Amino acid sequence: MKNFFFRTVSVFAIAFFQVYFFASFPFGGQAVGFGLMAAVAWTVVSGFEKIWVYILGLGILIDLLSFERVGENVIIFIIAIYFVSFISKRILLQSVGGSFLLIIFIIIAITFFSNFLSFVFSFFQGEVSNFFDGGILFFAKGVFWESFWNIPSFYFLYWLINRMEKNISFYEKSVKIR
Amino acid sequence: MFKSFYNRKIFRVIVVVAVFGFLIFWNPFNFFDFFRGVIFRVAYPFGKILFVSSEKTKQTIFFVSSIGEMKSENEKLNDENVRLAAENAMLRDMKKENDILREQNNLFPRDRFEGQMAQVIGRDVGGVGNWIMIDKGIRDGISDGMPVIAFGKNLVGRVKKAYATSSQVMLLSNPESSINAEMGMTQAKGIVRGEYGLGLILDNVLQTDKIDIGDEIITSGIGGGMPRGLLIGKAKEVYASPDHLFWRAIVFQLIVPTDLRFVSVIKSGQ
Repeated sequence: MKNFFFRTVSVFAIAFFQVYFFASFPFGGQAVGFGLMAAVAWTVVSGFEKIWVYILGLGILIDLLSFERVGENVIIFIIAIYFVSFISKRILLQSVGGSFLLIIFIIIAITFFSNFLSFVFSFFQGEVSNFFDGGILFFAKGVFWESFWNIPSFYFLYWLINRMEKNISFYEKSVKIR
Repeated sequence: MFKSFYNRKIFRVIVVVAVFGFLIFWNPFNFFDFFRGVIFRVAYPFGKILFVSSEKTKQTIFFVSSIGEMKSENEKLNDENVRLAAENAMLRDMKKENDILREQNNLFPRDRFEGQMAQVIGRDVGGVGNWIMIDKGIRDGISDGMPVIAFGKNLVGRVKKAYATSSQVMLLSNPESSINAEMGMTQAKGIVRGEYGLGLILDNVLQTDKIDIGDEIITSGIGGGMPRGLLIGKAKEVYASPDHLFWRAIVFQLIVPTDLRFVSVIKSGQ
């Protein structure tokens, strides 16, 4: 029960930070993908099976708070964490230098993917996309800047979520022993 | 062990994508309004705090990042300030010059004389007030002996030596200066001499003639070297010469020759 509580509070905190705090810092026209990086970091730490429901909730919450169509961020997050969970074990087995570069590449790829998917949703809804208004270069610039800030966000969230999950698992073990 | 398809991750992903994909394209905005309202009620206090914090953080970041810009902007503004202050001082000086020139020009008696405006470019090094230098010379039609006036008909002195592009003007207060003069009212005649750059003395006025204090002293035109009617000054003090043969008067000049910036040289006329 307490695990559920901690994780739910974390989901709400991440959503609030994404919508109310980081929305004020648009880099190249795009806000930092705090929620997306949290989903990726959480998957790397805990694995797909344990947290996919919470990521689902995170996506729904962000969609509701940011007045987007419910489901856009959900689909982006769930596809992203599926691919991350598929290769995260390999990341853990790699040497430090190689895994760092691989993570950078994955973050850039996920950022590009999320922006592209947002464009697709807007396109099929008949809305003009913000990204392609200024041309491909403008889109690329937005992806670049969002990736640039997503990388430190990922490492920060990985550290934070890792600590939280370690505390939760320690508490779970201590409860079981009793 | 073999996992059934329904337990695999990919199945869950497909289901989620299908369900929420349908929701997106069905686009039931009103359907989620109720849930949105509930979430916003919960989120309101946290959202407000976070938003205010983000604005303050943004301002701090902006301030810090603009310090470098502000520093160079400040330096640029300081340089410009210094430059503008110098320019301002120069413009004020030019305005003063302009005003003086305008006044001199308006006062110059063009109906009687042909004149040449000149700027004072040097003064007696000793500070005694014996001469000034002007920026007009032989090339401008100036020659030795020409009278020099200022502010209309106030006599300043005469050209002692004209050079190609400048001239030395001997002031009335120079001990070598000697001008035939007469009183404006009483027409008593005498000679105005300089007293070592300190002042002027009207001398050689006959005992039978009268000098009124405050009366104007003008050039008499006697001798031909100086046109008649140019104002020298006013009689300030009257006293007898040591030998009691003549009257003398201290002459008070209405202009201060050593402070002049512009003068006019009379080239011809009566």
